[in-house]
Parts: sequence; C-alpha cells; structure tokens
Amino acid sequence: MNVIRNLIIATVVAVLLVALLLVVFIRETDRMVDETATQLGNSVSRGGRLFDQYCSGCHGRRGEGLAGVYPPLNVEDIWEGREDISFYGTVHDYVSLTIAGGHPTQRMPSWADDYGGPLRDDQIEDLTRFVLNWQGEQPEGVRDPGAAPGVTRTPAPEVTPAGTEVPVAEGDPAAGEPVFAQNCASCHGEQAEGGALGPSLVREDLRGQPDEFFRDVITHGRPGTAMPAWGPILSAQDIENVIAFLRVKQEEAQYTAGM
Amino acid sequence: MTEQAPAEEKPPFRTRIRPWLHEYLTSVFAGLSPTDLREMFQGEEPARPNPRYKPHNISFWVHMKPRWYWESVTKFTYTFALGWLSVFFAVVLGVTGFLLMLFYKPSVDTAYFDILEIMGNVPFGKLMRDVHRLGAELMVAIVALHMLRVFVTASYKQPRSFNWTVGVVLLLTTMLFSYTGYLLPWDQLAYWAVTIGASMADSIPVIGANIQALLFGGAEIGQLGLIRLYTLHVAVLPAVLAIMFGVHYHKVVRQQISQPPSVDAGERKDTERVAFLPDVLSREALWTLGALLITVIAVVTFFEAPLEDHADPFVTPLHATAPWYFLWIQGLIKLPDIFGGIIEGKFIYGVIIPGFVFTFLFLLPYVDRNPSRRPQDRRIALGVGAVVLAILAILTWMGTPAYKAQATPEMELALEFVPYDREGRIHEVPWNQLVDGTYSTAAFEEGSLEPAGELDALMTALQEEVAEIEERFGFENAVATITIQTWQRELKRIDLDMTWMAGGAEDDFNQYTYIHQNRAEGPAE
Repeated sequence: MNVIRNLIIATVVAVLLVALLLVVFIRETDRMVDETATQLGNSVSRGGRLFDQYCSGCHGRRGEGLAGVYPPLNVEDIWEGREDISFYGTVHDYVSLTIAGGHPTQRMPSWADDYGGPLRDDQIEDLTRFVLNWQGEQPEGVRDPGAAPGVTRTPAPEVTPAGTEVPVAEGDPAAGEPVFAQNCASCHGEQAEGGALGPSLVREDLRGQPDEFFRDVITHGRPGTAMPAWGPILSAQDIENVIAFLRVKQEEAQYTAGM
Repeated sequence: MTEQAPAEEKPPFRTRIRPWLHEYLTSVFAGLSPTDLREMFQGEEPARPNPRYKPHNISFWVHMKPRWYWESVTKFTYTFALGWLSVFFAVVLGVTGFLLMLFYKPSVDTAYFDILEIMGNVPFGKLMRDVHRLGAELMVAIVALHMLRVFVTASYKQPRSFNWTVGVVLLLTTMLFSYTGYLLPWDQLAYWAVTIGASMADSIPVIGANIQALLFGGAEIGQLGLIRLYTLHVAVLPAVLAIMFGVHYHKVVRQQISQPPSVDAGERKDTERVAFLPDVLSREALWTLGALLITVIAVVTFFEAPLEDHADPFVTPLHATAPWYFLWIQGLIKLPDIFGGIIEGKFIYGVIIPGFVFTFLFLLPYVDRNPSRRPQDRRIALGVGAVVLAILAILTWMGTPAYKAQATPEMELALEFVPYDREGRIHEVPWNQLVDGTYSTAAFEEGSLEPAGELDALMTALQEEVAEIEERFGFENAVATITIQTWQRELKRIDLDMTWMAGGAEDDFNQYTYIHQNRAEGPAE
C-alpha cells in the first residue's frame, strides 16, 4: 500500500469535491428560483383539477362565472379596481380565505375542512394559485371563452320591473336549449339529469309538477340552497322556453328510464 | 582588568521553542513525535517497539480501530469495504439528517410544505435531501450485501456467531430507519407505502389493532402516526444504531476480521500484517473523500429524491408500492389466499413468513453447525442461500405493479401518457411543441408534426400502444386523441380521449392533466 499515493489522490479528490460544491453553490440561487417556479407550476396544475371538480359548476369551466349570480374569476383584477375594500392582506390571502371560509350570504360555501368543507389546506393553496393565475394578462382566446364557436354568451339583461312584462308566447324547446346549456346545465347537468350541486329535473316526482311550479322556482330561486333567483337575469320568454325544453327532456327520460 | 563573568546568555528563541513544540505536537498527534510522523509518511519501516501503536492507547478515535490487519483481509475484493461503506453512509445520513431536521416540523399540516421549502428556499437544501435519500436507499442495499458477503465467506461461524446476530439487528434497524423516514415528506408516495405496512400490522389476529394503534396511532395514518415514526427516526433508532454498532465493531476489532476460508483451512499462508497507521488510515481517508465525491456527483447529475403530491387519504394512487426492500413482502401478499378465511392471508404472508425469515437469519450460525468455512464443504448452505436469493428476486418482481396489479388497458395508457399526479410522457414534450390542437391516432402519420420532435415521438408511441391494446385485449376501432388547449396564462390542458368497441358495445374514456410552463421541458419564453 502506498501511503503517499493515497494521500495525493485524496488531496486531488478533496479539491474536486470543494470545486464541485463551489459550482453547486454558485448555481444555487438560480436553482432555487427555478425550483420555486416549478413548485408554483405544479400547484397551479393541481389547482386546475380541483377547480374542475369543485368550482366550475358555478364559476364556469373557464372561470367565466355567471353574470349577476356567480362572479367571474378569469379577470385581470379580482377586486375590479375598487379601492373601497377594507381587506389589508394580499390578494392571495383574500382568495384563499374566501375559498376556505366562503361568503355564506352569497351562496359561496366554506370549502376548508376546518370549516366543514371537503378541502385540505394544501388543496386550498393549489386552488388559490390556480385562480390567481387568471390575474393579469391572459393570452388570446383564454380571456373570453364565450368567443369560442358553439357557445353563446348572453349579456346580463336588465331587470324588468314587475307588471311591465311583455306577453309571453308559448315556450319553444329549441330556443330553451341554449339558455339551459348556458345557465342551468353547470349545476343540473346537460340533460337536466342532475349534477354535483343541482338535483335532477327529469326525475319522476317533478314530471307531474305544473308549469307554474317551475316558473316560480326559476324566477324566485330556492332560498337556502344554491338555486338563485333567475327572474332578474332571464327574460320571461327565456324561462318559458327553458320550461318547454325541460318538458321535452322529462318525456325523453320517461321512455329511457324503462330501458 | 577583572574579567567580568559573562552574563548568562539566553539561548535563542528558536532553541527555546523547540522542545515545547515537540512536546505539543506529540501530544496533538496522540504520542507520535514529529519525527515519527515524518518517517511514517515517507514510508519508512517503523522502529521496534512500533511507536505508531501509541495513538491506539492514547486517542479515543484511534483506539476504536485495530492496530493492524492481516494482509489478506485488506484486499478490496475480499470485503468490498461493505462494512466500511455502511458506516460511511450512516455518518453521512446523520449529518444530512441533522441539517434537514432544522427545517422540518413533523406536522401533517406543514411537513409537505417544509420539504418544498427545503428544496426551493434553503441553500444546499435539495442537495442535502437528495444525499439523504440516496444514502438511505444505498445503505439498506449495502448492509444487505455486507451480510451476503459474510454469509458467502462463512465469516459468521464460531467465534463470530454472536456478532452475526448483532448484524441482523443492525440490518433490521437500517430497514426501520429507511421505512420510518419514508413517511416524513408526507406525500402520496410516503403515505401509501407506509399504509401498506400499517395494514399488515392490522392483520395480526387479536392484538393487530392494538399494535397498529401503538405504532401508527390508529387505523388511519395521521398526525399521531407521523409524530411516532418521526420520533423513532430521529431519536430511538439513532440510539439503537449507535449502541448496536458499538457492540458490532468492538467484536470485529477484538475477534479481528475473519481471514479468507482458504487461510483458515491452512491452504495458504497469510502472515503479513498491515498497520492501521499509516496504511489503512490513508486508504480510508481516500475512500471517504472518494465516496463523498461520487455521492455528490450522483446527486448533482442524475439522482433526485422523489416528491409526489401532498398525501391524500381519499385518493389511492394507481400502483402504490412499498419501498423496494419490502417489495418481496408485497409479492408474498399477492400469493393466493389459501387459508379459507380462518386466518387472514395477509397475516401469514405479511407477518408470519417475513418473521420466520428474519428469525432464521438471526439463528443462522446456530442452525448451520458445519465447522468448515471452505465453499466445497458448504454445498448445502450455499445452495440454500442461492435458492433463497432467487426466491427473493422473484417475489420482489411479483411485488412490482408488473405482476397482477395492472389496471384496465386504457387506464394504464393514460397513466403512461397523461398522468395527473406524476411525471409522464407528456411532460417530456417541450413547451413550444405543446401546440393547441387535436391529435388523433386515427389520422396521425409519423413525422407529420411541425416542429417534429417529442410530440411526434409521443404520438408515434401512442399509436403503437393503441394498436397493441387492440391486439391484446380485443378492442376494435380503438382511437386515442390528444387534445391540447391553452387554458390560462402559461397553463395548458391536455386531454386523452379514447374510444373503442369491445364486445359489440361502444366505450370511451377520458383523462386529462394540466401542465404549467414552469414545469414543462424547454426554455421559458
């Protein structure tokens, strides 16, 4: 065994080791920035799946919301430039607290498992990152998915004062279909079969209900549930058309149910 | 003139300092004078009595090492330095583990974020974590190989049979170390690997639930389980390892490393001695630095400690597996349950058989009473060893998802191409090739995509696998479609849709994932 040879090689190895650690050290700041960015990217990606599962029913698949009922989230500034907001934390805090605790008076439930909801803190963090990823500039075609072919987006209609309603023609199922798809399907399902938030509208006990029942529920909503009042949003004609569309779906369901 | 008596001249400083320096250095080098040191490193033969043995009486650290080794046991190909490597990694794991502890809180609410923080916001944090993980995996393997070497050279026989049993305890301790450490990142990988173990404890009749409650804090692993395994990992097991290693190495030094069987049998002579100082010390210094360098190179170039999504008790990932060194037990559990429900098959396969295996290992020197260490006299022992190794290898393979754990073909396809909880083929496609559009295997031709590259390769592979699925599972008209949509700023949604006919009925399947630009390959725009 050659002691001198061992010690010389050991010295060379030590120098290499120190040099390597020095290189690692020099690159460490950049690496940490990259790593943090990757972690953010992963968080946003996970948040996307959670949004699809828990939020898109009301806020829309692409966060477009529902005019007058569910606020859009794909906006550049979630506070819409308002300065009269007495919240002194960051926007991140605001969004994450809103998801966790909800806006109980505005149909937003509390989502955190601390408050009886289904989501853990890390999931709320992912969702917050995803929602905040809408803030600021968005690339072409992402801002307004309503522009995509096949989807029509009706601007929020003005509230019609009571008693001035125009006479309503008989409902047209074909005209009701897009209205339903736009406003109702996110909760009640595309075929009114029911979804995560809204019950089935083609089930047996509803088939026998008169039109007045549907007209009343749609117009005034169901207090205490996620069903909002649509009177201020949809025209009376739209409501008639939706009811007609529902009747068609109910009839279809009656025949397919036995199969 | 009266001659004045010369004032006693002070000797020069150099002369005065000399004896003091000599004494000081001799004391620092535990009895080796500067002359001894110089001679040692110049390769001169030691005087007699050998002054280089003095540190073995004086220094705490050196006293733990033997004064000399038989020349035959210092051959690298005899021991492969496996015992030394175990100690090396134990020390590396201790140091890196201590540093990781400074940034980690064993709480189910924060543990995962602490790991993210260590990787993204602590200088050298990821290096520490990667070294710790690599060292942990390697140490289990090295300790097992060390034991295999001792078995093959029959070094466990008298008088070293007791030390073999201490070694088995050290192997178990190492495995427990690795297993308890597995849970700490609190990610899906950790959670489900440990859940498999916890369910095995539960299968023990009568007291299973109690044992599970004791070790894991209850039927479901939560905060109690995390803090228990953490405490084992950072307090109990280090103490056990330190004490048992002390016993183990003390015996090694007292009984000396066993010489090769041929020397024992008198077939060849081995009378040369190699002194620890300086020969073995210089070699071990070189090994230490070399092994450190190789470890750091491995971590910098290719090895990354895995970190999956946050642990989620409600989502079982497809193909949850135990750590590789416990795969053989997972393979055992997949064997058919032939016990008629009287006793749980999981108990027999997951507790009784592994328990028997370790008991047998423990008692090996007392079972194998053949005094000869020569291979030609140990045909039965070596044969049984080879068979056991082969069975372990087969069981390990059976423990992987490749054996009897395949999901439906479309799920396997989606897992490979567009998984949402791990890296898949789609994550190999650079960001600039993820062009919005719909890509169908029905219409795709290899090389038709611009720019040709990873997406093209992915579609080619997808086409091949769909054709294979058609053939193997009797799917007709199977078509897979990849849809890429820009979903948000720097975020794309990737859908895999598959339609096919099976048994005359149409079927379809969808799985999707999101990819953020920060995660995708390729340069940022």
